[in-house]
Amino acid sequence: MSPRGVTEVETAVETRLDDTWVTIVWNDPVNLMTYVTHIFEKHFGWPRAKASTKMLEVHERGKSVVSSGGREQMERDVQAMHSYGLWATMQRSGE
Amino acid sequence: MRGFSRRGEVAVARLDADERSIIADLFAEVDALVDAGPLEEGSVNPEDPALLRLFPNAVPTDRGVADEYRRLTEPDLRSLKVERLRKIQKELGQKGSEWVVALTEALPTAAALTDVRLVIATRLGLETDEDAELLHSELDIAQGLLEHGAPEGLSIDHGRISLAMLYQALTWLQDSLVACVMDQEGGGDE
Repeated sequence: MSPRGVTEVETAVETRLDDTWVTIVWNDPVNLMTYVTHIFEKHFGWPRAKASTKMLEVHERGKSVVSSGGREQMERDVQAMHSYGLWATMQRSGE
Repeated sequence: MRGFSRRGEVAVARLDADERSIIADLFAEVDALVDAGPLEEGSVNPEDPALLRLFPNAVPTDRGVADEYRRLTEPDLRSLKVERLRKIQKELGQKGSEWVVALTEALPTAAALTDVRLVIATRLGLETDEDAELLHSELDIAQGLLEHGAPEGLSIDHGRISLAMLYQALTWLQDSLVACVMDQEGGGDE
């Protein structure tokens, strides 16, 4: 593999990582545990066991990364969470 | 008041005329707050903290992206919230003691109940899980004082207690509604 080839691969990887965002749901005192579980089931299509585990992570650790991907997809996820009254934010992966 | 229970494809709660009117008024208040117009650009601290809870800063690490996100999404989010709040005001304005919600409408109804609870929680100063726990004790104590009379020098903040009782009632309504739809779906995938 030529040095130029290596450089190109590295650049590609760097760009991809830079473009990856995550959606985080934060704990709050208002949202009910059952409700949060149900939102996760409905929006992300998770089975109840996974939705429930993620909800507990939010509740016990204060936050949970619920999705990752391109910025536009994360914007859609955050907007959906806000429409349900959940406290969600997004940031670049690794930030 | 009786919380939601399932009846076929609908969930039904019972509220008397006073309860319906108090809750409808509350929804109208939140509706007015939400519908008041867009948050100013870069407005990480709008005048009313309740608005920041309904329209949170989506990207705390990047002001530019946060502003852009708000500009692009806030109008849709605002109309969706207003539409849900108004639908419930209409339902509660109808005669009769039953509040009937189709199971297919349970989620948007629960979302609107959440928005109203978020606003009340901000007014009550609930910021942590501990604050929410303390509110229960505060209500128990206040109810005791109301029944047996408050000792001299101890006054009850009636406005706060009424708001806290409403908050609890709405929490209970929402919880029972979500239970109806979750029982129906079962989570049989486990």
